[in-house]
Amino acid sequence: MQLQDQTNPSKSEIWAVGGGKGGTGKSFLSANLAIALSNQGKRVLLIDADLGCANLHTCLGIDYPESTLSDLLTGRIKRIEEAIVPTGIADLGLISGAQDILEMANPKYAQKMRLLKQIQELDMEYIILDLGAGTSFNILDFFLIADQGILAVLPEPTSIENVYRFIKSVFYRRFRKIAREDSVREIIARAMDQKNENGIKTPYDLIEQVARMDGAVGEQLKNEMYSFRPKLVVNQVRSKDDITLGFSMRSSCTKYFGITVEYVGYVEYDDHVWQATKRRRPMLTEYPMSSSARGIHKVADNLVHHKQLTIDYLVKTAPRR
Amino acid sequence: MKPLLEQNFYEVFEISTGATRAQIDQAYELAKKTYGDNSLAAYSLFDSEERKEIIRKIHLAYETLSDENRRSQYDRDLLGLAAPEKPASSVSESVKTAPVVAAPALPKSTGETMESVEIESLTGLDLRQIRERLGIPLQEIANKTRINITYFQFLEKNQFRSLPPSVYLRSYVIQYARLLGLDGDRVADRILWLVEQSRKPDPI
Repeated sequence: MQLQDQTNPSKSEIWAVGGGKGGTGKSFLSANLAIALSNQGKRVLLIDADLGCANLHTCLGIDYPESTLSDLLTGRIKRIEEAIVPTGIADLGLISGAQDILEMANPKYAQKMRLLKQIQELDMEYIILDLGAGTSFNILDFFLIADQGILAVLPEPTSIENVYRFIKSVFYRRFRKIAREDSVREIIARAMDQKNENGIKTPYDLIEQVARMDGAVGEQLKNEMYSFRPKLVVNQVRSKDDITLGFSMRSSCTKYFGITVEYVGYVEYDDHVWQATKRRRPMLTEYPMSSSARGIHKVADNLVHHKQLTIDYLVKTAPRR
Repeated sequence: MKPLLEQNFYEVFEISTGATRAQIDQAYELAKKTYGDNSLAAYSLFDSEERKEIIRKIHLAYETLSDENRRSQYDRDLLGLAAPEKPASSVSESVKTAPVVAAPALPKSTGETMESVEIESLTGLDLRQIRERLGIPLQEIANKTRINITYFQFLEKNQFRSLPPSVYLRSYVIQYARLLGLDGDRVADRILWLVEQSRKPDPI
C-alpha cells in the first residue's frame, strides 16, 4: 500500500519492520535481516526509526553514534550521508535513531517525506526501517511508505492482538488520507472506536458505509484493501502450532479485513539469540549456523523473491494426524 | 473481497476452484484449527458466535467439496459450470441473472459468428480473440488510450502478475473494453478478479 503521491525513483527497496507491541523482535529482525542481505552482497542501510527509543546500534554492538536521525531532522547536519555510520559488516551502514529530544519523536509529515526523499536518493539496494512499538502516526506513515511492510509477532495472545490492531490502524490512517470530505473522515474516525454507533465492525462495513456516501472514495478504499499486503514473521517459535499460527493469522486477516497477509517465515526460539544479545552482538554473525539464523535467511529469501510459506511447507515438517 | 456469509466454499477455504482433494483436506484441517475454540489467531477478530458460524460453514464446505459428486454438482449449480464466481462487491443481482451481453458486431469475413460474450467467464485470451475478429490492431488501442502497449499484451496473454496495481489497471481495462464495444465496468470487474486470484498465494 504505497502512498500514491510517493514514487520510489531509486532502485532501492524499502522494508519497514513494525508490529505494535514492544519486545516482539522488531530490532532483532531488522538487524539480522539487514545482515542476511549484506551477506548476499547487497548494499544495505539500516535505519533506526524508533524515534525517541533508539537502540538498534546496541543490537549491532556499536556505541551510540554522534550523528543520528535527529540531527537530520533538526537540520544540524544537511546531508544524509553524514549520518551513516559503519557497522563493521561489509556493505551495511546504520543511521541511528533519536534518543534524547522528546519532540523529535514526533516529526511533521512533511519532515518525514523530506527525509524519505533523501533516503531514496542514496545508492543502496535495500533500506530497512526499524519502527518502534505502538501505532503512532510516525510508525504508521513509515510502514505505509515502505515497499514491504513486515509485521513481527510472537505466538502470544497480546502480541497477536497488537498486530491486528496495528493492521487496522494502518488501514484507517491510509483511508483518512484518501478521504477528503469531512463527513467521510468523520465516519472513518468513528469506525476506529469498536463500540461505534454506526455498527461498523470490520473494514468491510466501513467501506460499505463510505461507498454509500461517496462511490468514488468507496472504490478507492477497496483498491487500497486489494493492494495492501503486509508480510508476517512469527518470532520465537517453539512448536508446530506456533508455526501454524502464521497460516491461521493469514486466514483470519483475509476473512476479517479482506486483505492478503503474506506469511514469509518464522524464527525459532533459540538460546543463541539470548546469548548474542547479552554480548551485544548480532545473532547472525555470532551463530550463523543456528536454527534462528536459518529462519532469518529463509525470511530474507522469501522477501527478496516475493515468496511466502505455503501450507505444504508445514505438512512436510509436521507429524501426520 | 466479500463478507464470509457471501463466500462460496472455495473462498471459505481460500483455495482455487481447481484444488485437489489433498489441498481441500489440508485447508479443512487448518480452518478447523484457525477458528476452533483454542485458536489464538481468531478470537480477537471474531466473537464466539461468529466463530461458530465460520466453523459451521467450514464443515458444510468440507462435506460438499470432499465428495466428488456433490462437488461437481455444486460447481455446476452455484458456480455456473467450471466458471469461477465473479466478485460480489461489484455485480448487482440483476446482472447475476443475466450473464450474457450483446457482442459487438463482428466482421462477417471471419466466417464465424459470435453472438454473445460471456463476460463472467472471459479471460485475456478471449479479449484478444474479440479484438482480432474486430480487426483492431493492439497498437491502435495503445495509441488511442495512450497506455503502454505492453500492459495490453500482458492482459491478452493472461499474464496477470505482470499487470500494474488494480488502482490503475481498472481504468486501463475499461478503456480497452470500450474500444471493443464491451461493457467496460463489467469486463474490468472480471479482469480485476482474475488478477486478484493470480496474486493469491498458492492454494493452501
